[in-house]
Amino acid sequence: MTNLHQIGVELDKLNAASAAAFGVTAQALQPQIEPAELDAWAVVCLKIAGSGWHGWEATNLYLALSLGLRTAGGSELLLGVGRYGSALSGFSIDPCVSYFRGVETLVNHASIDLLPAIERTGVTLTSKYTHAANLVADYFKTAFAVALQASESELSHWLKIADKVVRLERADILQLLALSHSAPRVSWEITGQLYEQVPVAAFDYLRCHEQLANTLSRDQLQRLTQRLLVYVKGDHAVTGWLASLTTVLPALAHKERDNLLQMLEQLQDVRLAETLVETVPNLPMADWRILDTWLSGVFAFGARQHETAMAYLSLESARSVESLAALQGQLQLADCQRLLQFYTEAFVGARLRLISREDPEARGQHLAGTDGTVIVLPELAADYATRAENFRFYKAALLHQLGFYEFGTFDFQYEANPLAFTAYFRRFNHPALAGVLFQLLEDARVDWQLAHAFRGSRADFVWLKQDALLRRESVIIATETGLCLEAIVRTGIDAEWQPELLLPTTREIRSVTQTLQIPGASVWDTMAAVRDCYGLIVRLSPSADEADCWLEMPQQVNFRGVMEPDTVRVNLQLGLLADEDLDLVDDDAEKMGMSMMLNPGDIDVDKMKQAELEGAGMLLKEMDRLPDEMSEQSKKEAAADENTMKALLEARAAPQRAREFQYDEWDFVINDYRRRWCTLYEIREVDEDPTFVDEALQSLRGLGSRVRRQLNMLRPEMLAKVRGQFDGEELDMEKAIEAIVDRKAGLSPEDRIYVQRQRKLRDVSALFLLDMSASTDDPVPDPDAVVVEPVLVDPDSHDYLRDYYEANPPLVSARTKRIIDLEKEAAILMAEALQDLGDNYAICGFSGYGREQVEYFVHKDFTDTYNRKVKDKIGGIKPCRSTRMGPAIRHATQQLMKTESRIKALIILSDGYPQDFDYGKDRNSREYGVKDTTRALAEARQQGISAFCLTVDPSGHDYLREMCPDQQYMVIQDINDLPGELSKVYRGLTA
Amino acid sequence: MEGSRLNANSETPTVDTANHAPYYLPLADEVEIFLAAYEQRLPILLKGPTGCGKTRFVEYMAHRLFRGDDASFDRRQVETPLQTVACHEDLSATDLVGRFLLQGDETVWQDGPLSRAVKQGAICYLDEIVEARKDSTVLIHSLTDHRRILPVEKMGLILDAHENFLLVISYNPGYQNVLKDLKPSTRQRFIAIDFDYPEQASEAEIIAHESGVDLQLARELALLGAKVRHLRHHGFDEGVSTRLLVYAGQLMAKNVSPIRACEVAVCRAVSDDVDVQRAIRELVTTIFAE
Repeated sequence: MTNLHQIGVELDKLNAASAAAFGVTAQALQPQIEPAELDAWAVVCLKIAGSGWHGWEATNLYLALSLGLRTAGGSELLLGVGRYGSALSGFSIDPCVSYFRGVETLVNHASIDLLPAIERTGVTLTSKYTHAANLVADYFKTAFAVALQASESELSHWLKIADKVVRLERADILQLLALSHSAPRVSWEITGQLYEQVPVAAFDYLRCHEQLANTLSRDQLQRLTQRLLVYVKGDHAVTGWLASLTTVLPALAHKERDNLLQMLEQLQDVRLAETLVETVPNLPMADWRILDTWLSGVFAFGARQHETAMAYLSLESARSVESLAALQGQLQLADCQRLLQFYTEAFVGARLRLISREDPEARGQHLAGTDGTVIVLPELAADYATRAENFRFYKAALLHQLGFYEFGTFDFQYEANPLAFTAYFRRFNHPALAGVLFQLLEDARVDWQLAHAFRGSRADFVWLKQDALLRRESVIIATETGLCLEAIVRTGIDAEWQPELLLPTTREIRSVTQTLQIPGASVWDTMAAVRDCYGLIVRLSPSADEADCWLEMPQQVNFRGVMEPDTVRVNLQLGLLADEDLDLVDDDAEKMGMSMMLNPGDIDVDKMKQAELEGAGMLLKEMDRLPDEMSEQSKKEAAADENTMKALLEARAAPQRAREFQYDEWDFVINDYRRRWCTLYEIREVDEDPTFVDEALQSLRGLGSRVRRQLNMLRPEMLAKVRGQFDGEELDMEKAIEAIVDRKAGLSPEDRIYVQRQRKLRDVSALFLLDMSASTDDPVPDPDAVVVEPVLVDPDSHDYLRDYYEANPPLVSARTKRIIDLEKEAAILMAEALQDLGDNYAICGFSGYGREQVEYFVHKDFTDTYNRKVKDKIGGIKPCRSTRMGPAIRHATQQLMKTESRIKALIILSDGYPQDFDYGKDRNSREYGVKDTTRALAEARQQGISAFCLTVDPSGHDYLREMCPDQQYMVIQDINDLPGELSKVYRGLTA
Repeated sequence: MEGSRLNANSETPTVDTANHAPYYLPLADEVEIFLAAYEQRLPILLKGPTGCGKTRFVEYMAHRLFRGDDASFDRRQVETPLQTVACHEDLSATDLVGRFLLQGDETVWQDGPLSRAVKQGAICYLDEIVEARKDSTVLIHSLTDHRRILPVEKMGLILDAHENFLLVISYNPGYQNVLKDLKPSTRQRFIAIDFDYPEQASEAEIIAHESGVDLQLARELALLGAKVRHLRHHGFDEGVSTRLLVYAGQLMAKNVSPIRACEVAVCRAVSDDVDVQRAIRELVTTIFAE
């Protein structure tokens, strides 16, 4: 008793409240436990309280617990907890507080039996990290939290993990503790299994578990966990797979997630699974039939072909893309672009180019559209189930655009204003409303007129209009103006009358719209209808007549688009202007008896556009001079018109710096093409060097005339049939009769009595493709010089070229010829000689860095004449970066095919094997590049192009033998022979 | 025997213009010009693309001058008023003028179509003259100026042209390349009448008459023709000829479906490029109803 009293006094010195609580608790405990135990308890209390700053806090907790502990586990538990707590308080009070709080919740909610296990791990932890108070405190917080949430067995699984983790680094422990909090619903049994296999996988799982549990149903989560347990047995990390799942899954519907799981269940390798999950946004996840068939394609390769399967699942291989597209019935515009381009030309006869919405020139058109120079169509038609239907959609959407030209939309004129439409709409108080009315009414008119004039298109339009109507069923319209516009759209797509639209005004609008259905209705009728509809709408809601009134736009019809009629008009006028000038030049050429092809590249269209621009400007300036007749408002508008006009013209006159092309690349590893793998930029604005060509010609005078002489032997002979031959396909009748007469007359007859057909006409296009890689900057090898190995630099380096040259300083003076100089000289000699021969030729170069950045320089196009400018451009050829040959060859092939010549020759000059930093996954392997180049050359040959490779790389035989058939490559031993050899090659190819 | 077969190849059978007048729809003043030129015996050059009606025009004029309203008594006596020669790259002067043939142990002379026309006083029509060899084009020089003579070198003769003789040649500037142009010395001996495919309305009328299809289909065929001709620069310089459109119409008149008829008569016929063929097919399905 004395003892208790003394302890009470001691406690009171430390904290009065604790002392009071101690007194109450001691009194309550006294009848329940032995006096010795009570004394021991009191000593523990004092020890905790005296353990340091805020010791009373822990003491209070323990005091509050004491009775509960006694009830739950007798004095043994009471003292055990107390001693454990006081041991913890020995080095810091925080762990002790966490411990007591945890024990308190355990006593209140769960079985106290779990306590020893928690304490055991705690002991391990404290003995390892004696000074990590916070860590220990965190451990207890977490352990008790898990104990509260999970069942007993779950906790034991957690403790098993914890027991292992506490023996590891501090960071691991912290990670486990943090993740245990963030994944309250996780199954610790499974986490334990994962931890057994791959500890990192267990942490990954914990990290994303909560998000997965939120997205997936219980059943799905279980299936996913099963996959995880399978994948974790493999050799590869599941981190990426789980990470991509967490980004992809939230975007999927329940059914789609089921489909994904079902697909995953077919894949045994986590790398494949990860690739598949990454591809999910591009897959039709809702359609199991398509997914199943598509996925089955991946098993065709067998386990060995890992790369192939990866490329397949990532939709990078052509086979995969095609299989999916075929299953979906999708149609890429690229697949039918040429066909539709012909269709367009046949239809309107004008030079309208068909481009996809992805094209930079499409200038943000969504749906279809036209600007007088191009017609934009979506790059993919996938709304319909079959390819045939999607093609039908393309055709009708194109036809709708062509209809504007066919039925004279752009013939509209108003007050001789270059921007006729804008000027006309401005007559209304609300020009935007008038513009919208025009668009809707004109769309309707054109479709009706098309169906009248082209009976075959009727069925297409009926089908598309019905489909468009189905898509409109759910449209909600708020305003009366919106209702009127909707009425026009619905009338235009031949919809049955909707009861909710059946207002007197909409009925009138409907009948006004229907006047455009009469065969032969013109754009003037549309304008009249615009006026009438505008009047009707204003009568219904007068506010619509205010210029800033908000317009509720109707939902667009999917096969129609939006157009700016004035842009089209201006562009068409510019086009006509250019055509007139072309005709003029054509006439002159004929008068002068010139037999050469007209070269559109020589005509300065920019200047003509400039003239047109000035003309338009003058017109507007003249109007400005009449201030009395013009209000301030209309002046401003005129200025705006002028600006618009200027902008339009400038937009058109702006030169295209680089056009972008996409090419497939052959991957021998997956034995398939990688679709649209390389991006090639065709660059026409190249550096110029005005001195190089003349200097080269000066120094190569002798060689030049030799080349010329050799090529002159190729001069065409007109006669395709040669008479009086010893041998031939048919008899020369005259000669034969003479021979018989001679024989009868006893003379010795002439035996040249045959006609032989000899193809001697020349119809040749040749393209010289020069390697402009950095290595062509090397000096021409001198056989007597000492060989110096080049120092390799990191090809990923930001400034590869600079690094390369810093590491490999030129050994010789700048006057020494470089490989590129020889290539250029060869090109110049050929150009000079071909100029005499009259063959059509182009000189291009290629370089680049990586598959997204292949550069293709056009120094002389087929249509360019060999003039000063071209010479300067050839002189300006200089070494750039890598040698990615495949896409350059494919592009050159495309260019050659456009020439439609009978003989097409592609001559490649290079200095080494094809190489780029990402030309194949293994950057040290040349095989990928060589195989792709081989394939590209084979494609060229398949299209009837004679390809020839010339290289100055002495080891060229090794790979050229693979890339080209025997007679189609040459390794030049002495580089100074290059110009001479080139002319021989040229003769061989084109004779 | 060999010789006569060769002859038959280059000389198409002369149309029987005695009994019926060939159908021809004048598009401009070409009939009046031809009549006036014939009065003065001026040689005529017909320029125009394939199948636009040049040959039909000459047949029509031959009928009119030798059998029809404008025929004189002596012209009615001419047995074959029109000698047509389709020129080809192998056609030599001999083929036009005549040649010796072997008959048993003798050589016998056979007149060529040009000599025959010169002698009889008929119209000689050399179709696609630029295709012929250069020596044959030079041969006609003396026939086409004031001399109106035809030297027959092998016989050592000079034939004076009959009073009613007229030389008509045709020439298609479209598809021949610059190498096969008509020499100015030849060209400048003729008055030239330009032909082109008729306007849509006239072409429709011609198609309807020639093929017997109704006017609606004929109009659609003419529309197709006009559209396809926009594609002239893609592998076929000529566009689709009126003749092909008439063929398509004739198939339709025999109950071949319009789309199928155009497929065989137009799509396949004008180009070998698959995409061009398909584009034309799409055009056909746009214009003609199923």
